[in-house]
Amino acid sequence: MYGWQGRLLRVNLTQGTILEESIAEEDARKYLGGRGLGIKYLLDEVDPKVDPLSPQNLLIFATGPLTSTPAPTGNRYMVVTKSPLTGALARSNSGGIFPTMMKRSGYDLFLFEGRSAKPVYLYVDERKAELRDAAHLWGRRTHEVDAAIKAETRDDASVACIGPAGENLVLIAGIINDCHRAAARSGVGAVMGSKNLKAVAVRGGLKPELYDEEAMREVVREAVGQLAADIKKGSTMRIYGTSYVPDVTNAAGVLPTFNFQLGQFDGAHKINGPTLKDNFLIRNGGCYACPLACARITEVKAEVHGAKFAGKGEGPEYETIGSLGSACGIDNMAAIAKANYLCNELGLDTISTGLTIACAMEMYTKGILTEAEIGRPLPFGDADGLLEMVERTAYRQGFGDELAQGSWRLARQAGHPEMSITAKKHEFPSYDARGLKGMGLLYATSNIGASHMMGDTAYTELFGVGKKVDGLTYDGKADLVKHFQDIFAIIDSLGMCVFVALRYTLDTANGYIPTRITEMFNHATGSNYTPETMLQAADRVYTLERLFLTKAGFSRADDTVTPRMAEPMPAGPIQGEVFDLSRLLDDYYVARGWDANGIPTQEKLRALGIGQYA
Amino acid sequence: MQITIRLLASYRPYLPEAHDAHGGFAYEAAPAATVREVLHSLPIPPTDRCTFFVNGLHGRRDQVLQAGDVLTVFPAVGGG
Repeated sequence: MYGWQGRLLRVNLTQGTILEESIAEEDARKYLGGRGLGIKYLLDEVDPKVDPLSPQNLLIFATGPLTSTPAPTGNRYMVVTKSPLTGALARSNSGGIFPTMMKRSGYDLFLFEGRSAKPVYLYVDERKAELRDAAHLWGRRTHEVDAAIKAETRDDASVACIGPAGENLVLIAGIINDCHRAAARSGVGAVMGSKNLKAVAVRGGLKPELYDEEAMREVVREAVGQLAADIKKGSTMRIYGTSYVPDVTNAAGVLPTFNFQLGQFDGAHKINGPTLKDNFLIRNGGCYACPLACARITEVKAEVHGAKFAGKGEGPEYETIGSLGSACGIDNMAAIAKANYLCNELGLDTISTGLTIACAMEMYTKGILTEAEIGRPLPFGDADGLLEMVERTAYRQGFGDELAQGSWRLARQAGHPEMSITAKKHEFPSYDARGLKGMGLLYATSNIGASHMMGDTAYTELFGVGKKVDGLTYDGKADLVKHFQDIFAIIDSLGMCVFVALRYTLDTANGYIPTRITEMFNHATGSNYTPETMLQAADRVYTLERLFLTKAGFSRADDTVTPRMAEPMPAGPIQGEVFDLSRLLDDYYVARGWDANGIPTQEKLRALGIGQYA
Repeated sequence: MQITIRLLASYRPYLPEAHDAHGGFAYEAAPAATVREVLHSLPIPPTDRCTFFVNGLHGRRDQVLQAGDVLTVFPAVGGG
């Protein structure tokens, strides 16, 4: 096979066995890879009603056919499983170095079944795989684990691991790779912890064969040439990463502030791109072979900002600046950076951690939670409180045991569901849906719960990439959301990064059509997709994911967002706006070919070639 | 008539020395100036790839500005 390695590793943690299995070429072509192959295996092998933290859940690591190829940012992997936070699908995504090394270790996918009796880690070195004892690593933070595994394997190994949060089955725990990158969302770290799998280490030089390397490199040259020209002109992503975004969302009145009670934050200019760059940035970093290199390598120096915020690492990026910053009323960038480093070391999702703490802050402010229950005061803006709660969450210590379950359960127990800013129990990204109606529909219908990476319509509703549409209108948003969900499914299934793939391998000016990305895929794999059939494959992947939810018991009744979105925005440019899902949901189901209850019809499944899943 | 312009992200180097913490500065626009006319007069790279808000909201390039309006301008790049 070309592009794909054509094989996966099936690791049975209960029995301690590792088997190599081939992937049928027909399946690879049909489901693409990454997210697409991941959901196929999950749906084929797991009862969607399974308890996510039981040995019967499957944890899947999935690279794509473009991972470790000349495709720019062809270096992403997906973690696919059933989420213990939401009970729906989990599909978390990360870059760094690990995805490329995983592919070069010889495999497209790793499937982790069962539960190990004792802590172990998997080490794969060019198709030689073994489970190793991890007792000496259990309890340790991710950067220590990374160093220890390299010391006892090879220093060119790349490590993905859980920290104390995943070990403690914290529902908002993630999987950290290369110390600073995270497959963070949906509690995938807890699934890994429930299997007593501490880490996965990979290395190798087994690059996939390409069908037509010269033709692929020609297309890559066009894309990278365009990117290079933009960088020369002064690329915002190169200069600021995503940290420039608070100025944009604040100007538009959609920056989460005090747990989404407001959309503008007085301290926004203190937590923006220039603040990060001027005071904390050491230099840019990047994922393996990425031409953009937008990552922030940063440091908070003790002598400048105080010992309690001192640290170094990568980030924070925008979502972290929103969730652990303005949503918590924190206008201190040093504190946000420290919280970010802590989340990486402990193995926590910054988005869910930030918004769960913000939820607790609102409940404390309104007297719903007391100082005695929390163990300390916890008002908005309290940086000390923020950092203490991040640590407590990872260890389930004191009030941290409550925070560890995420904001939805915390708020429901207190009788205030509107204070949990979630959809399907999954915390919102930092874009207020009252100002971006497409994002609201996205949050309500995403297969993992609220997420921007499941089809970020903010690209056109807010940022104006390709075309600028009005965030406040409902017209056309149902079709727009479906289309964005599909193009993100393509990018996720092929193994690329949205930041480069979206602007340089799709035709954004003419409706975000997957032109170059389909050509690169065809040249790499010897396939014959067109942009149209590639979009259909994406619809197939998206619909399979939806089927998993349907069989797990989800339907229209669960396609909702937090009641807060029905509260008129109190102030700012979008004062008075609400998000009214009822204006969009029926049209969305029609666009998807699902019935009025949000269930994919038999007809639609057959049309997509997945009638056997009916 | 006086409006405020805010330049964000990679347009910041084009800010005049006198600007506020939000990247905003006072700008004297012609009466009934359109967004397009003001954008063309700014010392930023080609304006067809920029995105703008008028008072934080979606606007049109042929929109006529009014005294006191805040025009926020930034490159169309996307986010996270």
